[in-house]
Amino acid sequence: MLQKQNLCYLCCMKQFIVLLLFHIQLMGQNCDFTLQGQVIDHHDDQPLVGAVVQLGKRVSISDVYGNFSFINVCPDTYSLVISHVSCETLEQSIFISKSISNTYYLEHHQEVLEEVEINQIATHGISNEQTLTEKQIQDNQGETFGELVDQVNGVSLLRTGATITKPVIQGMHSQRILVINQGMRMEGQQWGLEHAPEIDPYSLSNVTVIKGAGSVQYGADAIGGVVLVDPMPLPDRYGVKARISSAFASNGRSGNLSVDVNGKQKLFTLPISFQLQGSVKRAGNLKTPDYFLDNTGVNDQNFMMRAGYVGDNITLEAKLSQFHSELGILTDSHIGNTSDLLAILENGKPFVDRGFSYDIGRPRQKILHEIAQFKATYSSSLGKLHTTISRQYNRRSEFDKSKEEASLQLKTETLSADTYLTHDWLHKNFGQIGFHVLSQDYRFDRMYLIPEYQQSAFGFYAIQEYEIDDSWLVEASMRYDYKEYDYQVDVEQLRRIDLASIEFSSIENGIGELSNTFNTLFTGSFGFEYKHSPELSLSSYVGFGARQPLPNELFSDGVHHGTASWETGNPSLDVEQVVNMQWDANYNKKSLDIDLHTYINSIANYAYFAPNSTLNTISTIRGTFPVFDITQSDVFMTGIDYAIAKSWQKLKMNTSGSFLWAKDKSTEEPLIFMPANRLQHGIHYQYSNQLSLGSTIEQVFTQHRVPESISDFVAPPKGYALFDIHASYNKAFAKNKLQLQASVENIFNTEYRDYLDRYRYYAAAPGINTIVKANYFIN
Amino acid sequence: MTKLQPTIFLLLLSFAFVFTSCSDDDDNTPQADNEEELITTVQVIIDGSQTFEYNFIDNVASADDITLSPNTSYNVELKFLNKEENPVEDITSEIQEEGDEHLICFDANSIAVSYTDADVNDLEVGLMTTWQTGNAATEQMIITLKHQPDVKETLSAIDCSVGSTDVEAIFDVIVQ
Repeated sequence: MLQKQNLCYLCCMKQFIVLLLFHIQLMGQNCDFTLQGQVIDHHDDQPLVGAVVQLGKRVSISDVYGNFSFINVCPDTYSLVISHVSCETLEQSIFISKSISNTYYLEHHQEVLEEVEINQIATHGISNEQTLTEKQIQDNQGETFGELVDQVNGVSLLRTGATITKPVIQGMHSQRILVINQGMRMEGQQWGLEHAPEIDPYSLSNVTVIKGAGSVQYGADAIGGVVLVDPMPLPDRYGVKARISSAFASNGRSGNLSVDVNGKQKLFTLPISFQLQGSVKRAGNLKTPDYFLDNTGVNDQNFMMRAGYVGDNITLEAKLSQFHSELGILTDSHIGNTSDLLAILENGKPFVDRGFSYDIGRPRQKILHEIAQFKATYSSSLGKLHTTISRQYNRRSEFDKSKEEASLQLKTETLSADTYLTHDWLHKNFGQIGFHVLSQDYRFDRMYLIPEYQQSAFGFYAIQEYEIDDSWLVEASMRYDYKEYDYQVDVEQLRRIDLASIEFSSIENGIGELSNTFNTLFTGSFGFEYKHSPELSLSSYVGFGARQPLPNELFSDGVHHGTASWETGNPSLDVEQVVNMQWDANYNKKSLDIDLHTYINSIANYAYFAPNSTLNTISTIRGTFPVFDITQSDVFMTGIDYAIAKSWQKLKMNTSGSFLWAKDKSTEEPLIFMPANRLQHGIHYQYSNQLSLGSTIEQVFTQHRVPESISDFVAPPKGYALFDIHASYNKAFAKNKLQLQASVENIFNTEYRDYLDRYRYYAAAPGINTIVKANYFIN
Repeated sequence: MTKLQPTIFLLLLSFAFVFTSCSDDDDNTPQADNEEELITTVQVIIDGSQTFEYNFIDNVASADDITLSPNTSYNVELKFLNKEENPVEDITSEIQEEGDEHLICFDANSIAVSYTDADVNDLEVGLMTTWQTGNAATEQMIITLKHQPDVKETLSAIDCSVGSTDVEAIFDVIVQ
């Protein structure tokens, strides 16, 4: 650790120019002006003693208060140089036409700063990892979280219309991928296809996607991959910065506004960093090329408050956030029975189109997600210890068409703690050991969907890297999880599930108690990375994962709104096990960038709902519904994601693609509901430092690989191509920055439906959309 | 980065808070009873004297056969009941009050059905109808209760394909 001097503390700042210099005409040579100033260390706001201040040829030294002065100064332009040992020299031109008093901030040398930088998520591991750039994040804020993650090559989207989106990684989504929000597992009934991750894109400054199983740090059940999101690291420099972001879109006539204030101040003599951020969104009905999508408005309010302290060996951080979303559900998507669904399929479009409105009626979803989190790190000679303790509360209310109050309320409360130590015990190679505990309580009100339950989980893991030499890096990791679920099953609600097959520990007042423990959840990985040259690196990786069946897969027994089908679970499902192999090649030379990623997933006991072949329909007072039973199959998936980018002086072009081939080994048929293959091409022209233009084309192919034995009410929709154009303009105002962006999405107003959009049975996807964004950064 | 004046700092802070909402969810705490309005029975009352029932109770459907004479016109009244309640709950009046959200549809090959009631927007509802039979035949009559909130009032004429089905009752009709 660097010795701290009394005078200079550790930090680094760019040169700070405080004054806007006004140029005033000189009137004669009146040499009695004064230049007074104070020199401050920008990191800790302390005055710098003994700074050498040169005004032209004159020299002065700052006193114990950091003050200096020059008297009898003639009006002229001078060079002002302020220097101090271990700080970067400040040099500027100064025009004296009257007496000036000013404050000057000096910054520390770069290497000193790096030691203090608050450790963000250190993603170690050889599995394929892709991080979005800050520009990509900023360009895609104002849309849904899923659409932001969709920017990563190889990620596609499972949609319930345009307002509910979930990321799909290598064909897997929902309960098979984990979303980690600042080190904490997001828990909120993520098995639901219409339950999108409850994250405000405006609160994020880092988005990383890890593809495939075996990312041992986060959990056993992430067999498809992990999405890591983080807000910005809390500022280390004194002062306050602000960012105001706004976005307006024509389709839906929506407005977004986000305000972010962050900085560092002294609070009762302690240096406290903080961030306050809030955002709101209001949108009305979306429009396809031909008609409005009735009741698809959105109303969101979110906020986040964080505070942190950085000490010698410890850092502390506390966060409180709330995510509130109210979403309209397409009126015609809540259908009564199968005949109603067939009627709308025959109609080819929704029956209800009341034009544009901001009103969100019924049916709709209302989601509240609260997070309270505390993080701490402690550095010692053993390594760096990190701990995160969080409480999450998720409340999801669904209002259906029939009445005013909520027809369904799901409440999930989760307490979790993660502690890990990063170390370099093995010959200075990176290593990590950690453990995780979780306690969860799920309740519902009104309609039965799944039983109430309590979950306890415990896991521990170890990761070790080893650098064999300059070219070869090897990594191995292992994790073991133990999960216990206690369910309270309302036996009267079950209709198709055979109660005799369940061994309840007790049944009282119609509620059966049942416990399940899953203790064979092993996650592990082994991989190596070979740096052939500075341009080319190759890696190979094998990962293992296991996922326990969830209450909805075990105990569903009823009509699933919007799918017009009766879904039945199976209480004796087995744990899913996956072997995932990946191969990556990255070539980067001068202006050419090639990324190639191929993978294989072999999954045993892959669980999904499939039509029941013997009992085709079930009757209720509402009519008949096809029956879908949960099935477990052995499944094989393979795919390739690639990206090629080439840049010239001002022009950059890129092309990328994603291909997936998946098969159900038991039926020897393609696996249902897999994303179609797609290509993307883009061109970007940096006209000047301030202005840039670009265009992208996305081509999605028709999904021909569908099983014949499973009836889908309608064949997969045809493939489509969407064209976008965008432009961006930056302007600096002193230290502040204005950023303007304009884009047109689906510029040809193409009508299309996506195979992974659950609304495709009822309506087309939204048409042309013009978006204007204005961001103002106050530094 | 600037060292802002305290006032500007506080201003920006409050600005950030303006857009946050600790809004208390205005959902009413759901009541203990978690049943939706349940309909178990459709009663078809012919000319005020004969009653035929379709029941869906305990996951089993059962229906009386409706016997009618050929080439005759009948006044038909429908009732919707919940037999799981004791005493039996009559849902019909609720459907009538919410007539602008409901539509009853009749589907049979040779029986012509005309509506004789209307909701507040002068659109038919279907609780009162006249049935005109044709020649002797045996066929199915499917009576569907459609729920069309917020949309029925926008239509110029009733439309059986719109909305979600709340009840689907299937009767065998014998015209002889």
